[in-house]
Amino acid sequence: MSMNVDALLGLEPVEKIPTGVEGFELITMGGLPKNRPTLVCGSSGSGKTIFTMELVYRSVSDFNRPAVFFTMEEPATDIIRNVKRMGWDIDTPLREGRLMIVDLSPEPVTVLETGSYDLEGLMAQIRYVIDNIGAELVVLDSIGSLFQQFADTATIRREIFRVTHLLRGLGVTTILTAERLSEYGTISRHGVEEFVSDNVIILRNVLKAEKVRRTVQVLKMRGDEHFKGEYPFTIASGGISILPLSARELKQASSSDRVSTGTPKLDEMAGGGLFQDSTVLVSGPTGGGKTLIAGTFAAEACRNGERVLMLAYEESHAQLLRNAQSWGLDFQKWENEGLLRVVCQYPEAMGLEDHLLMIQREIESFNPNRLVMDSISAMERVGAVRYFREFVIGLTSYTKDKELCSLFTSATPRLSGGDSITEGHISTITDAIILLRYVEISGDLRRGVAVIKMRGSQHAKSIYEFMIDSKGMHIGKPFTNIQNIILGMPSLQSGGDNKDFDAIIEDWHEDHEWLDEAHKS
Amino acid sequence: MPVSGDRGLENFLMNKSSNNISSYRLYVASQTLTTPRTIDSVRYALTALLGQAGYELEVIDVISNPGAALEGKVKATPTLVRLHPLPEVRIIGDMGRPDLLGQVVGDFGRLQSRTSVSGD
Repeated sequence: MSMNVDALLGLEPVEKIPTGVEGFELITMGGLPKNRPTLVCGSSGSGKTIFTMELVYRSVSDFNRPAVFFTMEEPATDIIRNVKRMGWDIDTPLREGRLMIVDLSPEPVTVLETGSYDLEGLMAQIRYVIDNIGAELVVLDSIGSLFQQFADTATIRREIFRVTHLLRGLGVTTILTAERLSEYGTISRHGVEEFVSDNVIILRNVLKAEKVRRTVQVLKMRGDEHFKGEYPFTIASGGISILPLSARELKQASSSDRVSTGTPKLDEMAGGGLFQDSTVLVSGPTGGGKTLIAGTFAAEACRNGERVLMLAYEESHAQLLRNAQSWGLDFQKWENEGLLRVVCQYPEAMGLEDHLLMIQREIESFNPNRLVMDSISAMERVGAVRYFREFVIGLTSYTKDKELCSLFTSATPRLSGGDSITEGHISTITDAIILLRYVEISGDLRRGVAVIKMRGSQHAKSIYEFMIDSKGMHIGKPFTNIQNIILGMPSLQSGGDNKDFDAIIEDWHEDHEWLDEAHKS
Repeated sequence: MPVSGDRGLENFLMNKSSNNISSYRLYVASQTLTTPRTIDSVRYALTALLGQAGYELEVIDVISNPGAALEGKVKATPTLVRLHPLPEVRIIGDMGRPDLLGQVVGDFGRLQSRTSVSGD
């Protein structure tokens, strides 16, 4: 009796070990449960083998923890060849004996079954290899394939239970993989989860809106916390990247340093410039001056010797440079000086996860001070609205982490303004919003600009008129007697109802100064 | 990396290729209760089929010699491997019925056979 109690006392909570797989620690809040089995389920082609191979590879190369990979489906040579394109140096740990890939794939040999059997052979191998290389991480890919290799299902179920029991007893972190037949439904094909119920991770490969979306979900992590949603991941050279999007923490210290938009008057309207780590949305109709504001913003950084990454989704490289030239901005020169990098891409070229990964890679390699994205609304076309929002959250949290001042433009669907899907979804995420509008006054089309949001700062509340010429943009006076500009229905205010008499007189004097001058002369 | 070829088989081919003696290897787990009976059953069946001098049988305990299980890619025990004559044949199970085993060993081709296939 007392022995039983002793065994229950002084137990430590489950410890997690980091895996080195990008984003995995974040969604699992620390990594794999140490010395416990974890089941990785996924349909055919969901990336189970690549994922588990990366786990053993990183275990060996990043953390110097010997690991062993038992492949029960694909021949070992195929697996090694498949992961070679990731650019991993598998050979070194294999040669040094820190990584072992045990080939248990089916051979073209006639196998007959007569009478009862167990899997002592497999268990002996597991024990042997773990002892031999001191493995701390063991992968069995896939445990479900045992059901294909042996006829006696009841025996295999019993034996899988014994295998997992053995692995627990050996004190190694274990990954078992199992197949699924559908993306949403029973956890695994043969109910393997009954034996490895502590921790279950599901990989999915869903075709939606003609785009393949890979996701990873931590279904269970017994005894510990984890994020519960589906998180997109991509398989690119270098390995798997899980994009934890909304799981990111808002932990970035907010900067109070201000940077210029490149237009002094606009800085003034924003209460003294933009914050260094802020995200700005410039919203307006087509031809409203969004790209100009983005260009001016980029140019300001280049003039100060800072680097700018410009992502263009609507214009070609040549078009962009030509437009900048027409506003007197020499992008070509800054590009040559290595201060500006322009990346032009069709939004439809890839999925949102891949876009995000590409942007992150560009930021890592170029290390810019500012980021311009023209336009972020073009990305709406790529995926469902919810994914788009995730994309924006993922991107902005990344740019904040890197302390990038980023400017996104967003096109409104109607000429006069109004809401766009983009704004509805990202306006709460951005720190500042600059609104551009056409204003029709007595048959003239004029341009208006307003700062409608400036997180953590005062800002001008008026709508200012601005002009575009060969030197760029010029912000003039506020529209004083026009209303409903933001709503896209500008109308003249009737008389001076809302103005006091003095103000009207003052306006009149200002307007007639030239008359006075003329009289004097 | 485990050796994919079977050293026992290679040795066998090099040394005894002119020999007509059949060669068998039996992988067992010493701790399994039915193991002694399995070994007896296999000997009985092979002797009945090939005569005392007509075969060689090597018994390997995967518990005390796990490296052999790795090398032979043996997952299930007991596993009886016919190394010679080729092609290699594997029979798994406790061989509880010597008559059935004899049939299997002697004429595996006619029995309902399962060639192991790769999983999906």
